[in-house]
Amino acid sequence: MTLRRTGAVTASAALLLGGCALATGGAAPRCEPGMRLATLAQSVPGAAYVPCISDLPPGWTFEGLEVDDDGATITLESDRADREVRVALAASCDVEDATPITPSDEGVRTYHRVDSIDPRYAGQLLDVFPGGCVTVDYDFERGRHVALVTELQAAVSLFARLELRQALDADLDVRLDP
Amino acid sequence: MALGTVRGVRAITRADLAVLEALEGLRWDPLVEVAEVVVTLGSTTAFRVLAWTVLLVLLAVRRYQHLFATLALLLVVPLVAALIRESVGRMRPAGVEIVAGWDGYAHPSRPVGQLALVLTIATVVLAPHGLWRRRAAMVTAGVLVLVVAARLYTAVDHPSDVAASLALGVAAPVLALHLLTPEEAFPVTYRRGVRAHLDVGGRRGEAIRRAFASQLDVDVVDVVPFGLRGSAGSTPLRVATPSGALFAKLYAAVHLRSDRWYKLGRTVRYGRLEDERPFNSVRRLVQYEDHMLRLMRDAGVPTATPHGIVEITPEREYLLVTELIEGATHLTDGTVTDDVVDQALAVVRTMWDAGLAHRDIKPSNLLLADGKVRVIDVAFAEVRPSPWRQAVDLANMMLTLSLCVPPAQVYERATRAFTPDEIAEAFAATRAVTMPAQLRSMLREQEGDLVEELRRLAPPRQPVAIQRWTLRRVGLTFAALLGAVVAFALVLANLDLAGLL
Repeated sequence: MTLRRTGAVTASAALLLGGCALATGGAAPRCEPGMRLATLAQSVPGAAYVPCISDLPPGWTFEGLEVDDDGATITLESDRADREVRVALAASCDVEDATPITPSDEGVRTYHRVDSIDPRYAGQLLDVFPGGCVTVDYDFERGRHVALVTELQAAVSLFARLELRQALDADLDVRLDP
Repeated sequence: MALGTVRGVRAITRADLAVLEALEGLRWDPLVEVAEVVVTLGSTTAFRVLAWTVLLVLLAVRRYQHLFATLALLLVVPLVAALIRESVGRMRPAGVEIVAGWDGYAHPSRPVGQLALVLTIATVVLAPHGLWRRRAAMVTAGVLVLVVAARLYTAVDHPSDVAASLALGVAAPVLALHLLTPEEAFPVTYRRGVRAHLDVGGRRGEAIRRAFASQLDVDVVDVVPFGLRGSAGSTPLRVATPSGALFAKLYAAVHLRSDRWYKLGRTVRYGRLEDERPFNSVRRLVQYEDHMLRLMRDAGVPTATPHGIVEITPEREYLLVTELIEGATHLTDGTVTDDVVDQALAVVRTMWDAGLAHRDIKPSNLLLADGKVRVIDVAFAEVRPSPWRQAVDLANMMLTLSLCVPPAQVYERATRAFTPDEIAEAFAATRAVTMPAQLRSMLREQEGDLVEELRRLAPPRQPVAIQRWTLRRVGLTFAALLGAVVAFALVLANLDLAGLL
């Protein structure tokens, strides 16, 4: 096989398999200090917390991360849910009609807004803190929703920006916020 | 790889931030505004516009090899870059104020990488080799320098992020295009003409001269294209030597591919008329035609005297060398007398008697020189053809002659060499699909239906059925359709993934 044919075959294989490679969505921003979490922190400068993914319960997968200078969105999927869950970090969010619940962390006000109960259980979990907020958008079929919401609350955590800043400074000699 | 270790990240980031902090110290508001605009040259929209421009230009000029290679690069390189970005997960510059928009992880820089990729591809596949390509390369370099400078000035990328993206975005297409579409085989040119007609200047011309000298012991004075009209399966050349001129047909991989696609297309469109197996190498294609020339000559068919085969590039380019029939015109451009008609019909008779068929009898393959008919281009010729094929040869010859001489006259002369039944059978076997495209086209330009006129002159005969549908045709058609659908779906999916949709 000539070099050109090898290159053509390789390119063709890459074309065929290309889409599969990114299907997993890459690595999730885990709840440990590092550059991935730092990128989320940079998307909302001043946000006291950033969302992170703890150990995902069985059946849950990380599908992707979109992050830019305006915020970040983590997408999760469960094999028992027909719609994905979106975890969004933003500079602010609307807590109107949301019911306060037990705070997720120190300095955080946590709310729960239910948009629908029947036939589907849909709503948001909101964590509001200085400089930003995290919104978890879900929409589950009734019957499985209780377990799914519980698992979701365990899967998504908050990581303190202060802790992240200190870790980056110590480990990588990087100042997160100028 | 250095960004995979903590020590590597520290070292590289320290160096990166030193540069960015120095640039931050040089910030000036008007310049920042300019930089924010320049940064948009690396946007997804700009990438899409440039990428589609390249693809559409290649489609318009029918340079399909470049098109496929470009499509593959536009899909594969961003994919590789995305995998690296996800794997490294690098943050944006920290410790400096970022004053332009950004998205995604930083390393390698997606906007710089995409821009470098599409501009490099455009330079290589759209700009002809030489001065134009050098100019295009300078423009590409200039644009990239501007965009990189703007992105570093606004601290939206680290210097190492843009360096990595430039390495991937420039090196990958240059290397890949050199491998997949080497300049010698796929020159970037915008001259009008048939794609099969290769350029014989420059290095190829020199190679031809050397090959003639070493293999045929012939000194070549000049090589120029010759008789391009009606030739689409090779590059016909006039080779001038100190003792006269020779004729040569240059065959290369592009002709082999044309042969394959032509035969596949005929099988899918028309069914199994006869053996349509493609050649699997240029060497075999040339060997076959040379062999058929010698068979024709030995059988007494008036054709060009073969002078052998010259190898230009092993397995890739060959010349089939024959005598140059000086002063010849195409038969239909000359004076067609009864004697000329008789000679042409005698060609068919001789082939019948020798168990040969030409299979491509058409005006451009019949020459008239000093009142003598010569038949050329025997690439499709066949030994021990079926009676059906022999009949079709006769019909095509009579139709070609009828372009110059009244059909009744052609028929009357034909009855001197063939029986009325043989002529009737010839036209009973004749369909549009049995005629070469050139002959078909010229017949359409005539007033009246020459096929019907000749058919009516001959004894009535039931049309000869042509086997159209075979398992092979069904299979090939299905496979071709399925392949097209799958390829289209895959390309669409990957175009979407590459951000081109």
